[in-house]
Amino acid sequence: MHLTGINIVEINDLIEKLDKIDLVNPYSMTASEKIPFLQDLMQSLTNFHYDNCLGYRNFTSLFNDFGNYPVSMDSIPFLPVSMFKKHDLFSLDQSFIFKTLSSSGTSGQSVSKIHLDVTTAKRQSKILSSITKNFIGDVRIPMVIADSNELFKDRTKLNARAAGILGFSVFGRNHFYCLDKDLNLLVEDLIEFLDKHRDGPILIFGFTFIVWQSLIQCAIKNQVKFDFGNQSVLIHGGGWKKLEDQKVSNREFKKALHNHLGIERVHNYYGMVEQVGSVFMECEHGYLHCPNYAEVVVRDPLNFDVLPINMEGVIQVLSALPVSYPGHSLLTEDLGTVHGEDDCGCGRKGKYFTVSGRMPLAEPRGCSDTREVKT
Amino acid sequence: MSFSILFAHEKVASVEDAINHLESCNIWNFFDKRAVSFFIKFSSLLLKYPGINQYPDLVALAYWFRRASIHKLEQRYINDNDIFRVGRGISLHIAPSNVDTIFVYSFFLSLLAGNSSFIRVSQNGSPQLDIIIQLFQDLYDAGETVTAGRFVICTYPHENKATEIVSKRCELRVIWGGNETVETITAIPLNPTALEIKFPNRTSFAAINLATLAKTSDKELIRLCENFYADIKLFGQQACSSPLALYFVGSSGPCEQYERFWDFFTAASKNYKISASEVMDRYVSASSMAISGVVDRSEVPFSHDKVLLLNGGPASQRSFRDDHPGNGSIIQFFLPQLVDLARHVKPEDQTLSVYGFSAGEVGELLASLSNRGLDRVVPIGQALKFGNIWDGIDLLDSMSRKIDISKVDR
Repeated sequence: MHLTGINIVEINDLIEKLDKIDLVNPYSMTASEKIPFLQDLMQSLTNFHYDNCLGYRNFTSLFNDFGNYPVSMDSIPFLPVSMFKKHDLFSLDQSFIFKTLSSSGTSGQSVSKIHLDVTTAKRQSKILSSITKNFIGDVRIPMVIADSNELFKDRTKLNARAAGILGFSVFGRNHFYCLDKDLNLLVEDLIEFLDKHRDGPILIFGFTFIVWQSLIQCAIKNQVKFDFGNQSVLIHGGGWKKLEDQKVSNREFKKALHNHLGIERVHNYYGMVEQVGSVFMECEHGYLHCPNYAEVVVRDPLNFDVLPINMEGVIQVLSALPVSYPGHSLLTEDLGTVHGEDDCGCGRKGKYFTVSGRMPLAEPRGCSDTREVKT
Repeated sequence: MSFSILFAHEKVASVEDAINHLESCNIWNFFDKRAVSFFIKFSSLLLKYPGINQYPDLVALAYWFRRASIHKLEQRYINDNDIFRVGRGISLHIAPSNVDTIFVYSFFLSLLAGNSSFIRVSQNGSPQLDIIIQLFQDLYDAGETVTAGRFVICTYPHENKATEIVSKRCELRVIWGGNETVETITAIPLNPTALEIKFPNRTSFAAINLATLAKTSDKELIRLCENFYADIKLFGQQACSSPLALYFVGSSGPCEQYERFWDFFTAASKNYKISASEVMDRYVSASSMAISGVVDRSEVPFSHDKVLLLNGGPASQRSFRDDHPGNGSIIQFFLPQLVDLARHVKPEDQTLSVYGFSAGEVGELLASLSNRGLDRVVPIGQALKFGNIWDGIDLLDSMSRKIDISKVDR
């Protein structure tokens, strides 16, 4: 769906800007520095996708004031994140597709398709690395992955889970996938791994629900404690929906990690396959943080007006990384609250926020009942 | 949740009971007096029900089955001396999930046709359904057991065996509820002598003659806008007959008259409100339609207290039918003449509601149709009014059986 050809000057200009991103400290910018920096990138990205992706250009027609600049962060059109499920959106020539990510989507649901070119994919890895190192340090440590290595049978089509694992696995060594293909814990192998590495820190990575279901529940059921040692650190993400259904809060999740796995350092991250790389990581004070090259805007779900600090609304995520596809400004269906900017107790600059859940599905009211709501 | 009976004769406690009991009820004559009298009583109780005015769909239902309406309906069928009409037997009705009154029209017409009825309603429940069931029970308790004994209303998950059991022994199966339901239910084996009537997904739209609008007084325009708004508002604009698009017809294109219409429409819809989830649903669909080029402009902000007006884009591979969310969104198009609409009609189209066209213009359009699209042309404001001819099917005619007596000496 791309247009007449890629504007080389435009893309080079954009890449030059993106290459100036500070990789050493991803949380260095205060609002006064960040706003002009990110606004400029966002405007360039918006123009780039407008010029090169017909679907995106069509989409912007919904915003009547589009093109009437000067642009502010709030006025960048926000594409519903689900559009990547219904439409193939790509801003480069097909020949540039290096890999395609898909969301994990439970059975029967359609999945997002995110096409990446080499430079976008590389940039995502670099940024993810810079964010993660800010939380776990530079040294590669032994790593337990709370998943099965069966996920990697077809490397050309990666789902979100596999992409997440691959993205994070570079931060560890001696990788151990601690679950079998049915996501049952390999108890003896895990005990052996822990005995060998417990003296130093261990990195654990997994999806929130899988960590809960396959690791914590297994420990509870067998009345054993798997002692990871108090230097170990867990990074987990993927959403709370299934845990909310079971009425498990972040606090209880952390308590169970402490009681049954001996893990004290826990970092949840909020991110999505549509914006890989610029994840929002949870700090020691329990807040998700926007790095220099990403932002959240909380909007009133009734009219999409921007809400002030401490008001809950629907989350818009902005990221400077998506070049190959128009994913730089997305409206999620998650609800959240911005709690402050530049003044979190952890010392990191930028906005910090929490995610409180998903918007409920609208009830279909017509004669037809073809939507996912079963009657 | 499993099988549960919402209303039935006191002897009925299971699907098997129901089917045995309904079989014992035998067929009745067309417009049997006992059925007619029951409906009239139901209609008058419903009209007197406290707070009924907050349910326009129930008021419409009550009006539909008043004595005068039933009598008028009967007149259409009594003049044919070549046939004798009777019921078919047991009819099975699979009601739609969220239009709460359709099932009553469906099985009342079936009772008028002479059948007994087994009705499966959605498991969602609604205040309207509760009221309807309560009135049936009141009538039954007051001694109206003969007609009230001819139908069983129940609810159960689609995977329950009830549909299968009844399908084997019914003579008529009526399926409301969209393509997915139609596909699921038709896959269940049906008694070979039975007839099946299906109501899958349909789309509807409206057309307004700009030239007539120019001559319309403010008073009439206010009424037109209120009517159009009522068509949009009922059932969250998600019924098969809810207008999704509006064609402005006239050689002048957008003009003063068109501005005038939207000004009055904005006033008519000032109390509109939808939930946050519906706002999101509507935004997601509008975005999807914009990406595919179905719409190319949003005339009204996405706020929950506004009916959204989107501008129909130039030709697109997809149509507004694919992504339209209901929830108060109108896609406007412009056409030089009504007859030009013919090439935009798709086979799934059902209701065209109109304002300001002559019978000749409508006739010219209908004569130019090239597929099965369009089953109703009604004035704006009556899009959701039920008719005994629905989706091109004369329900009473199809639900009853015609015994051919044309060759018999009389």
